[in-house]
Amino acid sequence: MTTNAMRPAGANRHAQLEQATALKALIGSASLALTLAGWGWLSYQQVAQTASAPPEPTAAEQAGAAPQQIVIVEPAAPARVAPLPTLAPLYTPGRVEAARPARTARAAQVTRPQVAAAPQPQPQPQLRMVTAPPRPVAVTRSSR
Amino acid sequence: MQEITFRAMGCQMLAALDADTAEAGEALRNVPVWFEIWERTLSRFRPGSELSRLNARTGQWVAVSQTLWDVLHAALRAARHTHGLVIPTALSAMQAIGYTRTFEEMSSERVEVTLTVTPPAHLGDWENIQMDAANRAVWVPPGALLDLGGVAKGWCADQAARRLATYGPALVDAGGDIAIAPAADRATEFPIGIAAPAGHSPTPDALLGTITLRAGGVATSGRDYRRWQTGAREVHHLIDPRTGEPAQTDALTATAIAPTAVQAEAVAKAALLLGSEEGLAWAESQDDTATLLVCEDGRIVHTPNFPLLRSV
Repeated sequence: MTTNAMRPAGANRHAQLEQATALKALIGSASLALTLAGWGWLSYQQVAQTASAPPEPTAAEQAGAAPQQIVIVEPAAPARVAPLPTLAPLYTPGRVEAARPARTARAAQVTRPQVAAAPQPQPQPQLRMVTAPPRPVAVTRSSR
Repeated sequence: MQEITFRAMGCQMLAALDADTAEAGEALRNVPVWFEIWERTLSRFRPGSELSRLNARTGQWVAVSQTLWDVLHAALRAARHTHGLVIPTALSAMQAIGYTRTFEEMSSERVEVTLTVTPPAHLGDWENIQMDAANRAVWVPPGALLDLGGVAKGWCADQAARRLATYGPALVDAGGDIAIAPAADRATEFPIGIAAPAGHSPTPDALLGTITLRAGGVATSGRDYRRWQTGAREVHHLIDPRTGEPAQTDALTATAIAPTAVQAEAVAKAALLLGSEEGLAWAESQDDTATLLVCEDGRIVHTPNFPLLRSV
């Protein structure tokens, strides 16, 4: 231990005490900082290792237990349900083909009355060929 | 299609053949000759015609040509068919109202005539005409003058069409009496116009409509054209045998379609004389004919089977 000859003995001791206290505080702070830094580094390593490593089986899995199944429980049917309306199909190929012969006659069987009697719910405008009367070769008139 | 037009029997004539061969053209050139020969036989306006000679020898048996025989036979058949409305013995009645010359001569000379109001006799003598087929001779009651008129024109049209049909489907128009004859192997639908009555249409050549015929005859009888003024009275050439005077009828013209032009002429004239109401009813009772009448008030009536294509 070194002492200052120029100072009194009590003053030196007091300065030594202050230095010691400061040194302790410094050491404590540094220790705390190192502890925190080490804990942070270890936490980082653990998180990185967890993300890259395959998941470790749980205790239950290690014991060979089956995974829990999801079961959807249907709601209980009401006592009385109003019946749904029955919808007829708009297009049924089989039915259309079956109905066609009844409405399609062979050409030889078509007669004018049958054609005229065929139901035409929506009269449609029809395009007709109109031919002008031919120029007469002769004209009948009272004798002249 | 080839055709030829000419004048004969005081009318405009037309013959048409639906054939383009040289032979068909040659046949058409013969048609005016045929009509000239027929006119020399059948015309009452030619003093030297066979008909005029027969009229000069009433009350005697007279040998006649095949043509005069056939036409007189057709005239008597028409008289029977129309119950005495279309007769060959109306000449004296026509002369009585001034129809003594061809209508062309009457129109050009503007001759005033005096109407004979007394119904002429002999109108009913057609029933007493006798025909000897073995000798092809005819006996006409004394004073009963013959006019074969429209029947003669219809007969000529029928004959000419039949002759031409050797070369192709044929049409012959004898002053409005039209005959159509199909060829042996084919027929042509000839479009035929129906003229509006003269003086009752906006244009001279106006048509009431058009029909088409493959065979048969169509004829129009009318009081719209051959008419003239006699004193204060207007007369026409269609004598009603029931009165001996020009027919009083509400029909201006009558058009008939029949198996032959002769039949069509007879039906048309009878319907016209009877008038629109009675004439139409009678026409509807006739087999194989269709008739259309144009009335003085503008009405057009026709039998249901009249095949008019277009109305104007």
